[in-house]
Amino acid sequence: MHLLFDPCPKVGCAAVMNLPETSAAGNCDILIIAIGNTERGDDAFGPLVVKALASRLGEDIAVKSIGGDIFSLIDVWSGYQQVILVDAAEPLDSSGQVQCVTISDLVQEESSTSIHTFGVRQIMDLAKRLGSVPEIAAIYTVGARDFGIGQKPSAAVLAAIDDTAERIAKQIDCLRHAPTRI
Amino acid sequence: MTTRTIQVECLTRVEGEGALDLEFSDSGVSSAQLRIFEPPRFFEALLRGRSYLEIPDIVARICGICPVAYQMSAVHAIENAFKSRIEGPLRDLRRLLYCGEWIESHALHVVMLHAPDFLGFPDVIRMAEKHPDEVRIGLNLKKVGNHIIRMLGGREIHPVNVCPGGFYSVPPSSELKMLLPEIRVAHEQAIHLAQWVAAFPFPDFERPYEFVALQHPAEYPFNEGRLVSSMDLDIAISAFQEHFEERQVPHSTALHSVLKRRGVYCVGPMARYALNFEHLPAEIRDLGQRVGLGSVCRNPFKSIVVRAIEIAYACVEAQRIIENYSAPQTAATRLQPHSGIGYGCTEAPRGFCWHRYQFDSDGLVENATIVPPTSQNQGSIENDLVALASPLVSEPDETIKRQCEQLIRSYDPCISCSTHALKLAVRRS
Repeated sequence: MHLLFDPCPKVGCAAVMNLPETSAAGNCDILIIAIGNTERGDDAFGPLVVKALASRLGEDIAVKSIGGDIFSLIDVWSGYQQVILVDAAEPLDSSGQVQCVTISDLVQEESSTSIHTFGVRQIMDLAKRLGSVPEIAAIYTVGARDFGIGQKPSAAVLAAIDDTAERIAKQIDCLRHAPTRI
Repeated sequence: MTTRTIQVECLTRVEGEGALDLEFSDSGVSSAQLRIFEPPRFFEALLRGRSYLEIPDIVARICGICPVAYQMSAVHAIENAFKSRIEGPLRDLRRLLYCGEWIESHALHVVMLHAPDFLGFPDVIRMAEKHPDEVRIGLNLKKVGNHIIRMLGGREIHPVNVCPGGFYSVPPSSELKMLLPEIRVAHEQAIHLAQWVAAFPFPDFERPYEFVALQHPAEYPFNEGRLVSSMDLDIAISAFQEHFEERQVPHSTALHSVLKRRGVYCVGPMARYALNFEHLPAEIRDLGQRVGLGSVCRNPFKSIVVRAIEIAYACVEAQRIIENYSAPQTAATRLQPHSGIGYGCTEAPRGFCWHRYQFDSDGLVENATIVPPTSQNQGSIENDLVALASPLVSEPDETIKRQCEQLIRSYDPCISCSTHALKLAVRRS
């Protein structure tokens, strides 16, 4: 299955998935993090939005992707002032509906039922207690229903990609002029 | 006769979805059932007709936490069938890959999933307020383990660089040595972690397990050895099915594996540690003694200490391998497929993982059998639950549930893996 999506991951220290990542934390204040698994249907939303954004980002914007280990968020966003997250989410109304929310909008779960339900909110709560959460974060989510292994994203989610990339690009322009607030 | 039933509908802080049913009668616990209700995924059937070259990447998908275990057992079984044996640096790299998996898997379980139980926290988030340093250590150990796997496997979850005969590519020595500084830090952190968890309050609860694990004449087992037990079992891995059998039970979609002669047995860190203590490096044996573990641990709640010690061992072993590594001339030995049967057995973080493949003359799979560690421990978990819960009959349901869940988590059961999705609710004024 990996042959379809990530055929030749590099072995060695520079091993990353084949997305347009940058890692120049020292030169960037703004970080975009795509959360998702490109091999699981609608879960590919985050990586695909980042891919659509690639040609529009300047060198002052860092991009990272989180494919599986959600705990790595805490390490990935370390050192950045502002973070934009892009992820698939349970749909509020319909698949493909994009929401721009803040941390406080995310559901606070009582406790994790499995490591797989460690969500972004929980990771942020954990990071806050460890003193390593960025001060400001915007979270773009898309209503997603289909997480089938090896499936393409649904038409509704695919249709939302360009619009989301456009919204993020505009937000980044605002951030460049008023970098202390999203 | 009155009966009282306690149900834990969804076990928390385990990998996958399962539940627990406990039934009390006048004489104590009459039934303890660990219900695994995830649908079967039919990997063994999926493998039929596939080329031997595809097996490592398919079986890696069985688990997102321990994909290396499935890959390693598979490649050993394939090489066994095709009468090939991988030695030297390629063998060492496989051990190193396994070190990465043990470190990340054990760190996740020890700090994120199990430690909160002992300290009275509902989860690691709340625990981080009082114990931020240890949570940071857990996160860093997980990162280091992931880094090792990514270095050798191309990515940390479902690595894609393992192939029958070796690897698709191998890193140069200079690149591998770049891992050493962070592994040295992880080594120190693992020692601290072992000392920290050893000071937890543990219930006085020892069990008469029959431990079963791989045993190798010269090393703590990752990839090979004979299957031995704390009683009289000492067999080649190819004889597994003569001595063990998998049985269906109505309450679980996972098969229960038992010893034909004696029934329930226990695999995992406690079994490995008890049966291979003398093959640990002196400093790790000393660590075990220092934290009060001795050479055998029969208290399942203390398995958290054994896991922490195994993290420290994996760090020591990883350093040894990297310091002595020089890249092999070829990344993989070429195999000549032919009809035959091969067996592979390696030590996943949760216990040994046994594979058997039958191939046709083109190297296509005719039959596959995979026995994961969690299916082997289910009987042991249920027996422990009966023993633990019986004296608790007069306690409130919540107390019984909490202690039983903690016991189940002691086994770090790995029920299945899935994708991440964000649960979202929006409040608007």
